[in-house]
Amino acid sequence: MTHVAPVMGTVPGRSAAPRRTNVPLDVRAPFPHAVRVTLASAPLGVPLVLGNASLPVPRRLRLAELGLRPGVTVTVLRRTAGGGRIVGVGDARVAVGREVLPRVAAAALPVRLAENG
Amino acid sequence: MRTASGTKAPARPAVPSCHGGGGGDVVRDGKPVVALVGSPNVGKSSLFNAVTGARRSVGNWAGTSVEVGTGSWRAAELDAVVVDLPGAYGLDPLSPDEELTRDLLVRPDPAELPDVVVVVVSAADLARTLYLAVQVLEQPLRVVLAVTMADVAARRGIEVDAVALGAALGDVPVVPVDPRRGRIAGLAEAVGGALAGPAARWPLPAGSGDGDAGPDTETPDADLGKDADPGDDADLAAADLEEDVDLAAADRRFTLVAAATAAATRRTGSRRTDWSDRVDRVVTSPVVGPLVFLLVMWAVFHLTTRVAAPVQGALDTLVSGPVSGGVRALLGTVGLGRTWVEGLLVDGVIAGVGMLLTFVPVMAVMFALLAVLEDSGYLARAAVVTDRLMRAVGLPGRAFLPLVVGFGCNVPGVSATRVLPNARQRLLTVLLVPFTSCSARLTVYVLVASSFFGRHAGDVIFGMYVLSIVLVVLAGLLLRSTLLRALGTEDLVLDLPRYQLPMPRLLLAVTWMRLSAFLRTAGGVIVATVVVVWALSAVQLGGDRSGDRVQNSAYGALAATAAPVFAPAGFGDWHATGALVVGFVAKEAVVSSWAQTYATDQPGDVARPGRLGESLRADFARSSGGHVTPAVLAFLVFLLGYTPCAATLAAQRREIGTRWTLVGLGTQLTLAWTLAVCVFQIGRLLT
Repeated sequence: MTHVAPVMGTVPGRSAAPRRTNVPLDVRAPFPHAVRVTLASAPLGVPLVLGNASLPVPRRLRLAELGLRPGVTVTVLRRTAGGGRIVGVGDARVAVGREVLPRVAAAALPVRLAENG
Repeated sequence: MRTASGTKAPARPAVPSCHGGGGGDVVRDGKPVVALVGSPNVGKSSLFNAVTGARRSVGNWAGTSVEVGTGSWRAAELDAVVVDLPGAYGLDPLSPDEELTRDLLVRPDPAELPDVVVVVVSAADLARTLYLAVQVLEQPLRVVLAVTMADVAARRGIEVDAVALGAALGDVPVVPVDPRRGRIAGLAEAVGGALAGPAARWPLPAGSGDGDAGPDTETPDADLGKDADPGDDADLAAADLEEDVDLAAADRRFTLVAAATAAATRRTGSRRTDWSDRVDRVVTSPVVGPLVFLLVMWAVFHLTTRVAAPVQGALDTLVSGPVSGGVRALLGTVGLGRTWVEGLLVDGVIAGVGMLLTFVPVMAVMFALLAVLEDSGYLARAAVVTDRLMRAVGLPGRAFLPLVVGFGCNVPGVSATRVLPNARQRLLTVLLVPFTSCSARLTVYVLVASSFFGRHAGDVIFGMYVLSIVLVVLAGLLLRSTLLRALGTEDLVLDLPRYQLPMPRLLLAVTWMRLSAFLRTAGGVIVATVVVVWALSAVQLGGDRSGDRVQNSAYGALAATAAPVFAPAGFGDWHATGALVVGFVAKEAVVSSWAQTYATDQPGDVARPGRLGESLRADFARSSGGHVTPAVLAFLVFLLGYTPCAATLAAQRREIGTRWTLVGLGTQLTLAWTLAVCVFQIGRLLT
């Protein structure tokens, strides 16, 4: 079984492990090795599978239209001035403000699993 | 109300029709109407310029403050009216601009729909830009897909098969185009072909509520949502069936988009590290990003003011010298010299046109710079960098640009609000730009501060700029808490387009298009205002013949009538109020107005006011009852806060209409007067 922390540590140049949440591990299926995070707490450069967003429906639809929808694999690329993040969705780049970040759930995948998947 | 497709029908029943029947802006002339729609950054406006030859009529759609461009599309296969609808990611609007796009495409009466809709999608980002296309295809519309950015896609190792894409979407005509290079062959033919056919309804039963695909509830990661902050739990708990249906419909569309993308896309190479990402690492970084932004803003500010200044001076010299002199000489030869005709033509019309012409260089430079920032992709990054700061007054980050430009000149600052995609945010920014202290006010600051504050003049002038920023924030908060309460706060979620080198041909076309639109719509107001002020100063009302002509004119009478209004602010003197009346036309004329009314020479250097300074000190001492310093500060505060100039009003009227321009005018005058009175009254108690 792959443990999350060592795998995260294998990402070059990324020392910060994702912040764990207090949600029991058994709700992470079907990614048993994933760590539950939000876009605010997700480490940079690590593949994430997006979950739901705790936002009003129109905002959720807008996120979805920009490619940020449940089940999609994204990567938080960098922090921006003002506390936002730039998120990579395939070849596209989306800037997400700091107010939105903690409302978008995600699963931080072990790198090897994400590469295979 | 809900259409068969699940997309909500417009709430407003009286939205103007594309066909002009309901008070809309499109003049049809018996020609078919072709609407261009697409997500932001897919090259829709470039395509519009390519098909119309950049001949674009720009105006706000009737009953809204949303800008819609129209033009003629003449090709061998087609003669149509083309409408450039605001960019939208889908038909689920979050802004008035997107709402207009949805309203014009989702209408209960098919006769009000455009004849053909060209949906522009990007080959480099097919999956995301197809969502809107699928929503449009659900409507009873003739649809043609135009695929742009094949070159960008190719560099990323992506190839899009137009035939396969059309087949995957149900035999929709798909035409690859490159509008930035003028390559649009085949598009007119496809549109012509679509016109010949019947309006089709896309068979996708999206949003019909049959419940065969729930909104994410069955996705493997559904429980991940529990991990997010519960800030909107109340909203989510209250989400009704309609919202579930919306999400279900969206889910089906995304499934279709994914299938179409997979069918039409082929990877021809490996994905390379993008240089766009490397640039972003610098320009959006928390530390360097703001510095880069300030550098860019500094460049914009200096280029719009400094580069244009010599040309402005040359135009002013040309109009006030050879042109005015020539007309005077010509009128003299026909016996009209020194008559009211000469005054009207030279001091009214020619002076007004001359004033308008002096705006041309500064506007041209500013429009060109805007086009560079937009086309290169930097503007989106600037919006990210300044988002948090601007959010304090409820504006997005990119509103910073027009406000910065406003410190050079308010007129291009108002026009620069076109970088804002949301009409309401544009409205608020247009109302705030006049509070930025333009360079024309600086001349008056220097003269007044040098006359009254000696070696502290610099501190006072600096204080005026600080106050200008405070006024922008105060006015923003005031407007947001009163007239613009519905503006709301939009969280930042912004697509960052890939950087690209701006194309000179496109930049020139866009610059000319915006400049000519400004001259057409604002020019008349500027010239008319100058003529009116000339007429007021030309009409003599009798009185004391020994007095000067200015004091005895209608202008002098108006200034004298207005003077008591400013008595509580300590400058209830007709010289001061007369200067403010002239300043309404142009702040540059305030100093010359004082020189005229005090019958002194205009100082060559405003920092050395000489006799004019002595006259000002005497009058302010008289009008303020000895409290000179608070009265002068109150005058400066009023000068900063009230209407910058007639040209700014004309530019505002062009952007936000007459009603909101008058609201802005009232707000400025009220705020300026209130602050001036406060400054004087408090200052009087302290001195």
